[in-house]
Amino acid sequence: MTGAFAQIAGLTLRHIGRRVPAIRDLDLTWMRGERLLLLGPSGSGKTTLALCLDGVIPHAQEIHWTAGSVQVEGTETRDAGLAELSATVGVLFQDPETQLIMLEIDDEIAFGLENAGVPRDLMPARIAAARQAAGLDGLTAPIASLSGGTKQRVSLAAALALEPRGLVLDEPTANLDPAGAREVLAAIERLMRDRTRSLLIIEHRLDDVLGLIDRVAVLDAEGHLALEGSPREVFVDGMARLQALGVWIPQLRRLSALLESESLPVDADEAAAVIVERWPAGRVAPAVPAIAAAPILRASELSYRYPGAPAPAVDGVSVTVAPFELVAIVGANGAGKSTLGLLLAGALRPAHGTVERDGRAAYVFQYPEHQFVARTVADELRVTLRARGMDAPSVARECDRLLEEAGLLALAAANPFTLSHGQKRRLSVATALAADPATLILDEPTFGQDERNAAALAATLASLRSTGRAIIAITHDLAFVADSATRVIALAAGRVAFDGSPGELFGRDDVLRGCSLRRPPVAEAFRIAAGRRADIPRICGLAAVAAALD
Amino acid sequence: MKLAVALGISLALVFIIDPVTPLLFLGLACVAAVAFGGVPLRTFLRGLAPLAVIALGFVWTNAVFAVPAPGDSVWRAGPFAASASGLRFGLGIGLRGLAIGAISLAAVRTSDPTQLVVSLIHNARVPYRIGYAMLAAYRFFPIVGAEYARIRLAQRVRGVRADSVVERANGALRGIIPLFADATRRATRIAIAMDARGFASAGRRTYHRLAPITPADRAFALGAVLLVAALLGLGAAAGWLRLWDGRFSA
Repeated sequence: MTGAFAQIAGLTLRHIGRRVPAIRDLDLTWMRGERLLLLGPSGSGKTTLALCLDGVIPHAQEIHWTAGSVQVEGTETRDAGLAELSATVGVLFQDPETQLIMLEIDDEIAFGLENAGVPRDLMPARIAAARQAAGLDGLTAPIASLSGGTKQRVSLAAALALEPRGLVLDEPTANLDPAGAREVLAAIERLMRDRTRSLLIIEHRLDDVLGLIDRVAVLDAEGHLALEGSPREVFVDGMARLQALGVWIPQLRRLSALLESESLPVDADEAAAVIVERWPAGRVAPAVPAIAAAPILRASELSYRYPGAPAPAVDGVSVTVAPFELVAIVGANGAGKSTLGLLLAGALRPAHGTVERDGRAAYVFQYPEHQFVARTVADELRVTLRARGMDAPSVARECDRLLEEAGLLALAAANPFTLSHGQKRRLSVATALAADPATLILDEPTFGQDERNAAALAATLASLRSTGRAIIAITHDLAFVADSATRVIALAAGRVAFDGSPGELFGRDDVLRGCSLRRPPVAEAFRIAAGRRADIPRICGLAAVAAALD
Repeated sequence: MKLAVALGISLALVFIIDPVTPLLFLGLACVAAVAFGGVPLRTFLRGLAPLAVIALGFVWTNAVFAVPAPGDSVWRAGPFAASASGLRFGLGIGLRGLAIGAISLAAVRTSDPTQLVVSLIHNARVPYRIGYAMLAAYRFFPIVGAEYARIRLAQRVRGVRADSVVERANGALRGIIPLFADATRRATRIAIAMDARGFASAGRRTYHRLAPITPADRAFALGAVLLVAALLGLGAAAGWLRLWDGRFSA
């Protein structure tokens, strides 16, 4: 590592039409050959920073450049051209659907080369090299037919084809299922081990990248640099600060902190060593009280096939859900999770089978905006309350109560589309609760949330559960399953592959493999530790660890 | 090349008002697409369905509302009266629209979209920005359709009732706002992703794909011209060919 690859000094940027800067007085150095992890709560300007480094800002996207400078390889980006900058720094974005341009893999990889004016006879070799780096050798299927993980690798190959000396990875696995995320992470891991490029990664799945980074920089909600240093300095010495910022902390670091260790385990094996060394003899996870209530939702032999689909999305599924339960539905993309949720909610009519519900069911979609139907936040709630047949004074009273609970009272007159991501999610949960449902179904409740929002949501769900409602969560987030679910249903190809407790699921290698799931890091660490010291319980989540040590 | 041929035939058809000639071309386009182009017959017919509805409308309005010429045979059914010359004129226009539609559909359906766009950029001098926008739109439409269905479902789950026609229309409008927000966001992201790979700055762009006009293409064009001439000649000889005489109704 010699010298700076990119140098940001006193940078303040404000998006057009916004009053508050996205980035404020930021100083940050990205060293040559360094693998830098960038963290920050939602809205802290991480993506804006990524766009500055590859020249999209200010050359293709207008912005108020209030102060400061960005230099890449010693050149001021405002003076350089986009062609030069985009060939120096490549970016892999979050969403596979909105960064692919062409219909075929080779055309996609060639796109950047064409823009750079690379002579046509040099292209095949560059394309072949990029394919190999992303593990795409020999794949010729049209892009539209690829899985999310493979699409991300096509985008990665397209970025690598320009032979950039720096690469920004902007939450490359956030939109993928666990199998797709693993596929992309494996490709990224190869890149990170070969230290020929400077790498900047923005990522929430910290446990997967912790062993591969040299330094961490943390932005706060205002776009300041809040913290920077080695992974150890940031995650161990700065842990309290990170918690205050609402930034994700690696699960394994939180585990070692619960065990009062100052270590930073980078994989389950290292975490297991900490457990073996420090687990107090005789401590076991408190028994989870069995839920004895009679089911309020009974589905039998449900099947559903989308028009024109070759196979049914849901194929002969029977499940029951009781009050006080939080049932997680897990499985790979396309296993039928969302379809099952919609059938249980009564939004889709099954082709075969029946659903019996006691009380109403409400459904919270993954993208809250899709469900907004009114012009103001308060009207969103009133629409649902009126549909329940309430009179005007009750509607007003209930509306205020729900807004208060959701922390949205001050925003009652705001347009729902103008809310922040976390506020939108709280509003969509509040509109579901306005229906006073006996069963609440949520699709990917923790998707795109920072740690603070995710924790607040988990607390809301726990309190709803305690009032006797049943909760169903469709999710890829297995750490959330380990900590919050009372039961898990794993689907594979539209059928139930497993129905039992999270602990049982994470002990079943055959089911995990069959549903392309992976044990969350904490569960994996305890499994390894239990093999080394017989009295260590097989705990699968941090909540249970905290309870056991309490 | 295929597009140019299709355009040429369509232009010729505009000046033909008898019903038999377009019918022949309609058949020709179907045979070309299904037998030689490998397009499934059902897909092809489904693509033509909306045009068929419009064509029927032409036949109906011309047959019923045209002023009957003296000595024309007239059929009456209740309040409606259809004239033979009106019917013939309507059939001519309707089938003509359908034939032009079928020819265009045959040309587009049998082309690889990427190759088509690259060919337009290379041979028809379409600006590359417009060409790539066309490709992006091609990828976009199915996504927007699926997205709209998802939004409507999400809003129905909220308990927004759609009992009356007015409510249903309202519901459709309500779905458009999130769809628009979504489409804007997607379009912005794609534009950023394109610029991140230097699209906005491209000075002298090179191309991975070539789309040269080959001797086979020239042969195809020549063959098409000869076939069209033969069909028109046959029509003239057999007496069914009628060219446009400047009138807009029967």
